[in-house]
Amino acid sequence: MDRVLVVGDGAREHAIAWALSRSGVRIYAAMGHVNPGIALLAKRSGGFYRLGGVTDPKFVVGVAEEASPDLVVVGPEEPLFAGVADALRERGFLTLGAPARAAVVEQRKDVARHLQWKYKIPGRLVYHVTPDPREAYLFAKALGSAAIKPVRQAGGKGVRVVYGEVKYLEDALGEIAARGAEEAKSQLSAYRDAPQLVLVEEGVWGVEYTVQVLTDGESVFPFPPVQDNPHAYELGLGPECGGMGTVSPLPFIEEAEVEEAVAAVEATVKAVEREFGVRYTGVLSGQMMLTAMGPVVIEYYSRFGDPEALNALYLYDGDVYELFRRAAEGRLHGAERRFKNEYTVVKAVAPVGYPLDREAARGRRFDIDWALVDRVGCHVFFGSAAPSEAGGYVTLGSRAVEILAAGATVEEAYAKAEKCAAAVRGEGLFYRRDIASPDYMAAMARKAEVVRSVYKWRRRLGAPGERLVWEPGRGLVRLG
Amino acid sequence: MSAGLLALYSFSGEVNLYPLIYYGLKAMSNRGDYAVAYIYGGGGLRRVEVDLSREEAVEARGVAAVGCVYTEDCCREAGDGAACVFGRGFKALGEAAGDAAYVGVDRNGALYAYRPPRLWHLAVGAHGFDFAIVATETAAIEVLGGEVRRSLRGGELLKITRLGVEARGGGPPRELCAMEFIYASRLDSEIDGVEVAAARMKLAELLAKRVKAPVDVVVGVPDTGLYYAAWVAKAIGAWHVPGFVATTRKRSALLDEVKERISAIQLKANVVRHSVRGKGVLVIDDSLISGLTLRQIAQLLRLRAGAREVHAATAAPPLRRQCPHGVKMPPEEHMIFNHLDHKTVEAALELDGLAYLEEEEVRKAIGTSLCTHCLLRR
Repeated sequence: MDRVLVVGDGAREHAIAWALSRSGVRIYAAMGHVNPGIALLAKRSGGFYRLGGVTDPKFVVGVAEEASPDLVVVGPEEPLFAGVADALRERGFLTLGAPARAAVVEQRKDVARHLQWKYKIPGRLVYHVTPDPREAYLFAKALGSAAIKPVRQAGGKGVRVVYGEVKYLEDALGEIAARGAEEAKSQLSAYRDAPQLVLVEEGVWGVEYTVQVLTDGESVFPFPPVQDNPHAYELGLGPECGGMGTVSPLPFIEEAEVEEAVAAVEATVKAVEREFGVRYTGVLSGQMMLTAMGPVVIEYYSRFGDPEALNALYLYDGDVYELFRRAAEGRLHGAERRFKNEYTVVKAVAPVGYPLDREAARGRRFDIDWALVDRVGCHVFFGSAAPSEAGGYVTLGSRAVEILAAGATVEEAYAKAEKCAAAVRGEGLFYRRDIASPDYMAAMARKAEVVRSVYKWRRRLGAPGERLVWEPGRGLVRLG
Repeated sequence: MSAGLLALYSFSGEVNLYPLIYYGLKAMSNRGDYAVAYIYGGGGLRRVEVDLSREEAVEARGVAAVGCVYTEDCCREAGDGAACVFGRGFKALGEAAGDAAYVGVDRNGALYAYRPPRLWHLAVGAHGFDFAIVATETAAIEVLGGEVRRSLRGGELLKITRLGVEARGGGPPRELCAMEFIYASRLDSEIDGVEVAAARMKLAELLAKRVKAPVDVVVGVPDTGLYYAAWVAKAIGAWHVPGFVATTRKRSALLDEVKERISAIQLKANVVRHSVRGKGVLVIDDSLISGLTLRQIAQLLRLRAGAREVHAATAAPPLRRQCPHGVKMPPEEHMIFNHLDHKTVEAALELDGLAYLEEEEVRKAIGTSLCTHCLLRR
């Protein structure tokens, strides 16, 4: 029986372990807290789990030496940034996970944008990086609509989007932008591996979709596109968070728009090798937005998205272990792209307090009605939750569980996901009911149609990706 | 016409909400010219009078605000907070009961928005990750640079705090006020996904079939009549021309006093002689209550501008009854069709002809369940 070590303790890693266990491998895990789902899969398959710092290469290598796995899969980004995948490879373990020097495309948003412009990767946005919040604010103001972000990946925190083309509200929204720039910078004080810089880029409007690809550095293997929902609260309101739910595949995104995103991600894999001299082996995801300029890259993930991983791994209709091995061994070329002809909906259930008050979000007890989950036919993946001494489970501050439901139609998957979300019972938990509802799907389709007609019209006028900006007094500026 | 209700919530802490309140309420000044707001900031509630005629440099910092624009004050402190209410049956903040739409903020800064099961509309939207916006009119959300998420459901209560958004209850709305589609709402708003402009176009197309007299030009009475006039003109093959220039934009139907109403009509409809001189003119208005507007208009067109014939058509049937749900309107004894027959009305208003849609046609054109109480015969 082949052995796989999964590094990480979130719902994404639970889904990875679940998918691998279906290939009949023995599951081992290195995690920061006891993820009840991963722990059970390890136990059932005859493996084990060890608790420790998953960003500590020594700890992870130690677990690998103990488990002697045929493959190691690193799930989250922080271990990648910290060089866990590199350390594993150095010790001779076959590893699926980006080298630290490649994962920089997620870790440093300024590096990703720099590569996009240097190598003319499609889907790039105008941007500026500065240590000075005041300068960031002024650049945001000059752009009109702007996204203001900490330069380093900070778990989605500190991102501001200000639609400032409404001139009469410029001063009112300016305060938001100025504060955003300050917060983006201060967000980074906790990190020692990146300078405290603020990134300001064009604020775009449209429909988000994530394209996740597995790559061995040569070939890319794309999964069906997934839509994540970054607003924490019902109706797409409130602060940015790690994602409250997903839908896949996406009836409102055209095949060519997926191909364009895949091309951008593939070009990034190549650019990383040329720029840093490392081969990208792992997962690279393009978090895209379909806009009036066409598909643009909002950011990259150097791993599967969470919860997007759940949709992708469920929909893949093949042997996940074999697929991951191919990627890790550089044999991805020729892997067959087979996916189930189904729709999937994921709902994240989070404790009240998430994402703005993590302390308040900790320590909430909940139970799961497994009989209901089985009857409806969903899959429950544990995230930021651990077994409670008082029975059931306890939240640790972030999204506690993620529920995946599948169906022949989006409506069916949505109805199942809603039923199963109600199977998670506890005080002070919430999830977004609107995600994947008929209203939501119709709204996404309308929005996609609007931006699509504009970008297609623009492309008929000129080169794809090029923008002509007429500025009185300055003349015609060509961007792209 | 119902009041324009507005609610704002800032997820990123206290900011100066005044510019957003000002433009959000100004965007609904079609519903009146008296605007007021309550702001929750610094741990307390503060009342702010809003002068819609000019943007002042008011500083009103807070995380939550509710406001209202109407012909009179419709916001008040209500025990545990402040609420802006329109309609009947409001009980308390956080209660989902009665036919009143309300937005309110309690003394802890929690924001509430309630759309009753019938009659009145509220929509919710977002501006980036920072603001939630609730408004009677979707256009107000757009004016604030926001994106409309959807209309609240009938009977749905929304509670917004820093730590979450709860949407409770609600189902398909029952009958909506017909006058919201015909007259009250902004042309660029949507109600339950129905574009107000699309509903008005259908009304105009039906109305055109009722116009028998051959006319040369079609003119609309500012502002609501203009859009109807454009579609009626297209349907009957006449020219739509600007017939009036407005000096003010008051909604004359809202005013109680006859003198005030006539003044308002005169100030919003100075005739463009060149458009109508010597021509057969069809005047389009949204509705007919006392007939004061149409008589004034007919006289202006004929006496001041030399129109050859003056016909009129209105999208709504004549108003005949007071609204039992709280919409302000002139008393029933002022409503001309309660006293005179059709021929006499035409003569009294100095019209060559008058056409209007029947109640069933309004229902058919708008295609959603409607309250038409005020349009029914007594």
